[in-house]
Amino acid sequence: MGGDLDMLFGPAGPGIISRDFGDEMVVANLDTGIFYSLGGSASRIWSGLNSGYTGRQIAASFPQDAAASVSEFLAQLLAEGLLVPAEAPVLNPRGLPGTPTFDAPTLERFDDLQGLLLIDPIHDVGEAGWPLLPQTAIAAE
Amino acid sequence: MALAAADRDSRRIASEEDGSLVAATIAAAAEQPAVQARQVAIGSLKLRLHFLTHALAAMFAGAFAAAPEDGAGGESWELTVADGSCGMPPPALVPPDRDGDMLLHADAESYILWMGRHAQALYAVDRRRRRALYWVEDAARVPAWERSRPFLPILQAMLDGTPWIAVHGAAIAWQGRAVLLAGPGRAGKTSLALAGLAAGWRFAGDDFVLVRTDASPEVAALYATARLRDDMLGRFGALEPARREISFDDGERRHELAFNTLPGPLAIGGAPLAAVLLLDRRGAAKPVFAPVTRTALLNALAATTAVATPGHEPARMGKLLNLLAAPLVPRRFDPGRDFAAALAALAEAVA
Repeated sequence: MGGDLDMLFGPAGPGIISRDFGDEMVVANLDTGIFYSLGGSASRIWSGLNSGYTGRQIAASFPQDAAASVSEFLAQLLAEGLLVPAEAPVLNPRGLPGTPTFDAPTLERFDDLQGLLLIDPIHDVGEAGWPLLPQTAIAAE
Repeated sequence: MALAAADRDSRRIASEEDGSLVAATIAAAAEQPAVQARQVAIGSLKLRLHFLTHALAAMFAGAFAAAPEDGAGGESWELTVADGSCGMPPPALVPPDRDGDMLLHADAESYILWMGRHAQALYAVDRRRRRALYWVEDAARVPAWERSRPFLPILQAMLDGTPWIAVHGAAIAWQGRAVLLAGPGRAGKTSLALAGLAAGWRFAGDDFVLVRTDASPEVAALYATARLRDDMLGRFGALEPARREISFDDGERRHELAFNTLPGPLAIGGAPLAAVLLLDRRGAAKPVFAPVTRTALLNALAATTAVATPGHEPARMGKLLNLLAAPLVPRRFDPGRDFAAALAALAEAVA
């Protein structure tokens, strides 16, 4: 089943970062420790989705019918937890980025970091605060 | 990088108060009398190490590669190195569950890492005052990797405000141009880097090296150490005088090498970066270069880097992405079976 071509999407959180190198889009999910290499027209689709365009608008920007491929790729991105539905579009004023030729989108996955984190988890205490001995906590108050 | 939140039932302080407690904890340790001090260069930073025992100084002081050049600029930092025998009480930041997993708290003011299961060591950084503390309960329990690459999470936190990053990889330089070799454990980084050192290349590191990730990429040596598997020792007879001790990691016997005390022409240091390669032995007889995606290279560089120096992942990943954006074409490199041929190929790659 493909992704909904008429919905708006955005990155699944601040842990999703990406960088466009022209010939390759690198996407990192820092929450899971998985890296993705986006090739073909995947880079343009990713950029378009993250610029406030729907999958259908992105598919229509290609010279040939790309709706099925875009929908399938969108489903992959959702399955990987990289995108979530967005409510309001934030359109890129420069228009849909990238070149309007279509090459089958590819997504290659690298999970070395995830494997290491599963072996040796790191607990980010975050908002919970740093755990202290009782007498230290009392002294700090 | 958090897979799960800590679940402890001890009392906690709110994170906004952590900064002051970190500052107070580090300041209290810094007031203890040091028995030895040493100044080392960490990328663009100058770090003064204060050892509170002779045993700690003997364990760590010789691991670093470089002293700051005379008149060098850059931020100055202080790091107090202490253990449970120093006469000071355990730092207030030591958590109640000392045997637990790794705990991390990182924000703009402070960095705290507790390594529970591995060494029972505390790494704490007060960014505003540029002070830090390394404390280990029992110096005899310091693992071999910590003796070989001391205080790495602290050094990484100090570098957060600079274009430099400590990266898991090896680097060597020929005629002033360096190659950074990425790859997972057992990829052959140490062997190739030591082969280069023995052949007259400049050695910037075999495990973690400093990389400047702005528009002028370069590598610098952080540590003057290496860890050689038992089966590789015979191939590097020239480095025999650098052998300091034997260690065991997960049952694997390793020879700990320290180069600072070696006489002779061995060169430790860095150079402008001319090539970034993913070391990938696939059984080729002769050296082979092949295309590789930047993501594969990022995966190799980032995995152990992020685990060994957790915290501030978006910014640190941004540095690695900057490195990949530099005008260096990443390639895969199978060094083949002969070190001399591999080094000749690398010399061409950096020329």
